[in-house]
Amino acid sequence: MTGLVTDRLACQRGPRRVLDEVSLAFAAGAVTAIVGPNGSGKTTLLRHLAGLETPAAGTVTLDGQPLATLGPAQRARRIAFLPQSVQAYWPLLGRDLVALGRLPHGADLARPLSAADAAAIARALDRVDGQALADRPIDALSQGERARLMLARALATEAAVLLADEPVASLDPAYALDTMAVLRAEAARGGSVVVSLHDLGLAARFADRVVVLAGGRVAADGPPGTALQPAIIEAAYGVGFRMLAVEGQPVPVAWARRT
Amino acid sequence: MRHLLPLLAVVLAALPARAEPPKRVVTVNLCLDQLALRLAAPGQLVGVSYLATDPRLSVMAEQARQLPTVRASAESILDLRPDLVIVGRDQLATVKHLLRRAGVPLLELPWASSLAEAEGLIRQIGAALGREDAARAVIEDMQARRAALPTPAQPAGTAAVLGAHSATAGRGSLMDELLRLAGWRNLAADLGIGAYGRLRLEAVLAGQPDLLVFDGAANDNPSRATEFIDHHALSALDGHARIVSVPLRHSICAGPDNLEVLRKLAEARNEARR
Amino acid sequence: MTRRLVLLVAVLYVVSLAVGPSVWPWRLGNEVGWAIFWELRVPRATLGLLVGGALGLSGAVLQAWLRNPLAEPGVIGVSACASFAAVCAFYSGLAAAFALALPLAGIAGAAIAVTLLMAAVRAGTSVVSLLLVGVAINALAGALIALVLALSPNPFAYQEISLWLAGSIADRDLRYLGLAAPFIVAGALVVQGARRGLDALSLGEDAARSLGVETNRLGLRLTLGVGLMVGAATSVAGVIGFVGLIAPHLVRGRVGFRPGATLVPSMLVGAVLVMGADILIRLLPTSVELQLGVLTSLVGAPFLVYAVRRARSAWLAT
Repeated sequence: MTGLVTDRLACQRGPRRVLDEVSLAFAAGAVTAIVGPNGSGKTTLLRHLAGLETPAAGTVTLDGQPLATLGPAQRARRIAFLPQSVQAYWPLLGRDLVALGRLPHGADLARPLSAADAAAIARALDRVDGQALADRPIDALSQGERARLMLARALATEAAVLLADEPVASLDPAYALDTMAVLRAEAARGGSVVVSLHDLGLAARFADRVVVLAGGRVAADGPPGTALQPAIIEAAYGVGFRMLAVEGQPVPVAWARRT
Repeated sequence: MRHLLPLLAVVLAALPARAEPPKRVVTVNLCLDQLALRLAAPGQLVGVSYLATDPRLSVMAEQARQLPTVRASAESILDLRPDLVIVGRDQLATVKHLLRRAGVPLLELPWASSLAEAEGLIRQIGAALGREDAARAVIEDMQARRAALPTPAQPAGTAAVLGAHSATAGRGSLMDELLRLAGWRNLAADLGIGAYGRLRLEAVLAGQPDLLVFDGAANDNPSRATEFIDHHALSALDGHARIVSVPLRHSICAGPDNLEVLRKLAEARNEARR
Repeated sequence: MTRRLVLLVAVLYVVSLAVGPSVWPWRLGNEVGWAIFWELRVPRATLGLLVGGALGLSGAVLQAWLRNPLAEPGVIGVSACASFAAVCAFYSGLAAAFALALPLAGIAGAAIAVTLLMAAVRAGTSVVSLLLVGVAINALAGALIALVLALSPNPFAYQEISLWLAGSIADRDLRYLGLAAPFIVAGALVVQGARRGLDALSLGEDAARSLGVETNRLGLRLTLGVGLMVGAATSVAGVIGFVGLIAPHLVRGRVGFRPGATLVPSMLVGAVLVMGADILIRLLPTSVELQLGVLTSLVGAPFLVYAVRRARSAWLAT
């Protein structure tokens, strides 16, 4: 089986079963959105997909190989991970931040970059429209601009799989839309994109497939029209939704608490 | 000697009105402890400072250990109900103040840094303890031992005195006098260093002394202060300089034991002249 | 910049060999002159170079790894722990019986302190909180050193606490150089291989791990490297604080804040600082020679205050 696949994945944190019986397959060339309320296990799932945590039960495989058997360098080349609200601790230059994405390919920031690395960085900056930010220190940038560079860092690795944990959570709508567009473009180039989202509207519009998590279990897995049905998301979020049709696309909007 | 009369007046003023010698004497100073231990009648001394019991620092350590030790606190001293406390003039000001308020007679004595000053101290302590005869005997013995040594016409060479923390005995110190009497030049004095100055290893080597004087046993328990004894740079002087090991307890305090130091220095001088 | 720093280090080394109370000792021509040169001047200059380099490099490593611009072996208590362990080995007579016991003790002390700090950072302490941990460790180590010194049978020991808490490289002969040098060099080599991992840590531990950095292994490697360098240096010279704080700060802006790129320049700047301070001490007309650790603290403590204020106003504040 190609691509990133989980089989009955489970994660135990003390007495809590954070993930339970999660079996998913993430195909190449598609954007999969993971949605669900806080505490439903979205971040934990992504961390397991990135190989940062070992499952209590079940497996995570990439192209048939269990993640655990891949060396850290190999895994880093094939799976790029953009954690939630990443901060850079030092005011690096934009291009140096993006260059970090080439570390899995052997880049060394203290040495001149190879042609391949330089080209990949240039491509990544291009894709996020961040060329103007390359030579500025990131502490002089706005939050949205920084987020663009963080995404470019993940793109620079040019991995087969891109995992993004809440990449648009605190961004202005303009940046949020830009980010989703970049992720779609990445999938169009053949990558497998998995992104966790708070905003169901964005999920409905930009994802090819939506996975709804509730209480650590998969509540729904399918195209947005199927997975984001009111019955399913109302049960998952505990809130009443109305469906708005925008240009023929149904978009769920949280309306009122359920009594 | 010119300090003797005013000091004697202070001493006499401090003594109790009765003519009897004191029966319960406490001393609170390493050097004064040792002199008192030499001169006191049996049972007259009832307390000494704890330093006097350290055999590295005190020649009378054995005897001192038979007695209770006091620390530098008025309470521990008063606990022994003394009728005379002998203490250094420039130390323990607050303790002395409390003792005076408690009505305890004090004998305050200055620091001695020459043989003559040591003899002065012996006389005063002897007088205070009512042991003038014993004091006279000690002084006569000191003078006899000194007379037995030859008077050198010329210095045999330069000597460097090395102490803990690069300390040396400069101009005007006790060791300075002893070196001069034994027929040695003092490197520290030549370099213009005062009584308690410092002499760095490099200056010692550069001065190319003929004699090194230090306590050879000082680094048996290691400390940074006494490390110089094993310093490799000093070993370069092997064959160029003699070494005289002077135990700390013989050189710290001015007193009869300095004559032992004098004897060793004179012996080294004789060997050097041969 | 690196080339110029190497040149400066070389110049200061030669100057350090030449400064001393006696004139250029070769003029003495004989054994004594050579003894001054080999057993006093060479060890002093070389220790200045190695200790300064070790502290500068350790400071850069700690700051990169703990993601804290105020970290350095002195401030966060690593040097004090090394000093305490060395004091135990020295005054118990163990070091006299078995010379390697001294640097090995220092290394153990430093490694333990680094491990504790690593655990604290994992728990998510902020920039200034880590400093408070350092304050506590420094206070405890200082008190323990005083205790060990008080228990020493040598009557001069108790006064030596300042030699251990504000160190000195004076009067150390070739034996001490031989004890410290191999460990310092080994530690520096161990740490060099961690450069890329430190760059990745700029984004935090999760992102670094996703970039293929094995953070646990990296942590062990850095603990070993810093432990070796700071432990050996402190065991022969005592605590020399603030060098590891100042060196990376001076260097960071010129390398675009890339943590991995600060390593070698910080090492060179550290060597410059220590050798420069030691030369200054020998030229000052004081009757008592000022201790190296005292001079670095005189300069370093105000620098720390300045650095704290800058860190708090910067976006990467607490």
